[in-house]
Amino acid sequence: MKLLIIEDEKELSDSICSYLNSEQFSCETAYDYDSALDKVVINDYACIILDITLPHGSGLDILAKLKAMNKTEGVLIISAKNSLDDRIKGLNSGADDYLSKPFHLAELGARVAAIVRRKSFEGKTRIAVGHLVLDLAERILKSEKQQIALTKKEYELLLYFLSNKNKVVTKEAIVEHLWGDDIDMADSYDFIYSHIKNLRKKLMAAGCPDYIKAVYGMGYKFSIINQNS
Amino acid sequence: MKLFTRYNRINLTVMVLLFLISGICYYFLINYVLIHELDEALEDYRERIENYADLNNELPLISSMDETHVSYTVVEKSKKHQHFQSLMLTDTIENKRHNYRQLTYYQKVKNDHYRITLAKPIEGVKLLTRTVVIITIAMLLIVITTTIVLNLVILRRLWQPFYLSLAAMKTFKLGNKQIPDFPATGIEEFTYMNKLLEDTINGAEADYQTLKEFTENASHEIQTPLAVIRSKLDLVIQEEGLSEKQTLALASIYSGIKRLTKLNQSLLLLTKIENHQFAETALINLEEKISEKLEQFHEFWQNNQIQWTADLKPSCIQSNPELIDILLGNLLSNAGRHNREGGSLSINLHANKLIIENTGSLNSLDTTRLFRRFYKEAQHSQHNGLGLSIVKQICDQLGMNIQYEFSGNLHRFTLNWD
Repeated sequence: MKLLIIEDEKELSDSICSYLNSEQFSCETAYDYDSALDKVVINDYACIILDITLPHGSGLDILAKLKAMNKTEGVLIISAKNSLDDRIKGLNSGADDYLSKPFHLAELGARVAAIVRRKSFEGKTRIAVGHLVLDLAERILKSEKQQIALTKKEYELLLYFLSNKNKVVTKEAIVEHLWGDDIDMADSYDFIYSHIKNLRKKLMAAGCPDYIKAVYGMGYKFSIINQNS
Repeated sequence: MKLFTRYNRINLTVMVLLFLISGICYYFLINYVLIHELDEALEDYRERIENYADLNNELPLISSMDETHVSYTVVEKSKKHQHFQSLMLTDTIENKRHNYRQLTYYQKVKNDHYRITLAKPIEGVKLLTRTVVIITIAMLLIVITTTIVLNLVILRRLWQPFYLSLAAMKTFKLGNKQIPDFPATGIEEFTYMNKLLEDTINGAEADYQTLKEFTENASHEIQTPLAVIRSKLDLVIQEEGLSEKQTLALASIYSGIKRLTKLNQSLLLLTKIENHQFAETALINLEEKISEKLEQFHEFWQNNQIQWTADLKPSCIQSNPELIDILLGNLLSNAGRHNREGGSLSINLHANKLIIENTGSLNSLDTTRLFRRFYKEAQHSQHNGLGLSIVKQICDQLGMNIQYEFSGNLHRFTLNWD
């Protein structure tokens, strides 16, 4: 699946590219309005990551053109302007999600994965986790024989990890994703540990290897060989 | 004191003084003129007596029909000079004491020396005094009435443009982008004043706009490099085999970036609130909203062994949802962060009131500086000191009243609204 990153800040664009590039996704980049428009017209993408302020034009215009062409690409707006107004304007113009800068790449990964899942038809409501299956419609984890009950936070955590497979995800990013960035305690992220511990226990009890690895001083990494199902 | 009252007071005092002084002056002046006339008449009389004496060698007979009292007294020696005096004499006809002007002089007739006194009644002094007083009072009354009427009608009309300009200025608020409409006037001074006001306002507005844009642009410009740094960090930590030292350094960088991001967002938020960019309102169910927030916060509190209680009564408010969200987030997050392990926290929501109490430091916060920007209890604090400043700004914007109290080792924030 192809992703298009329309972002004039080359460094940021490169970071996003190298983070999202995987077996599942390949990224293309566009740094200004015209080249972005060219690419959008010719190709089909699974998801377009769109900055609003671009040289020679506005990201919102690209969005409008997309809609005029009846393209069904998912669009994630990334903008330096974090205001409800812009957010509403973007979402009303047909964007699927809105992320304000600066963001964690893991958060971007989770948002992109969610958009791609939503856009790629019915079959995608199930994600394989080793020999288990996470059912997004029912929000439960299933093995062949049984259902594994997950708390709301454990479910969200697992989904977040699955969207950022084999990547180190910081505790900070996890907290912001699960609890929002109001929870602004400068140093103590300890309380997520119990959720991680419980999730890990449940996965291992269901016969999985220990997917969740703690990365010293940093966060966690969900290591799983991609079955691409 | 109003300009007119002040003006009237001064004006009337001066008028009254002026009229009193002029009344007194008039009195003395007219009195002087009258006496002078009398003196001349007496001198005429003297001349007539002298002429008579020169011709007839004797003094004329005293006529009682004349109003002039004449008396001759024989004295041993004449004196050269004559002199005038005012004195009270008894009028023989009316038998009343009366004011007289008397001329005394000496004359030699044949061999005898006479002292001759001529006295004429000073007529009309009473009348004069009365007239002067009446005229003065009448004039005073007329002047006062005229002044008041003039002030009421003409002055007020004259000053009308001034008051209109004042009223126009009253509606002016910096940052509203609305220049007050000053009415055109034919008076040069007012036109000049209006022009000055307009120029000043335009200048201030332009400066304010520049400042606002600067803050906003600066914040936006900072977002992008922050985004770059954070994204690069997110990539760096993907590398295998980072040393422990590197990891710790990276963690510090993360934390620094987070603080910088937060600071930047807070400043941007303050600017936006000041710019009234959160104008639209909706009906918000506070009970629901706070419950949501508690859901978000309670794990963090539990982790710090904070005993929390919430007593939420139904309450709705017509307000800006985004601001309410930030307000509640800041207050609750503060109550948790500045708490101590094993402390307590209580949230009470009433129809028009929200009280958040928490344990924390054992001293009251500095109430005079509490809501100022960058106020910190401890300088080395990880927090940027903008949280309460934002809270205050939001309260002002939403027309809420916020109070801080410290009693019984509890820090209490009370929010009131209508």
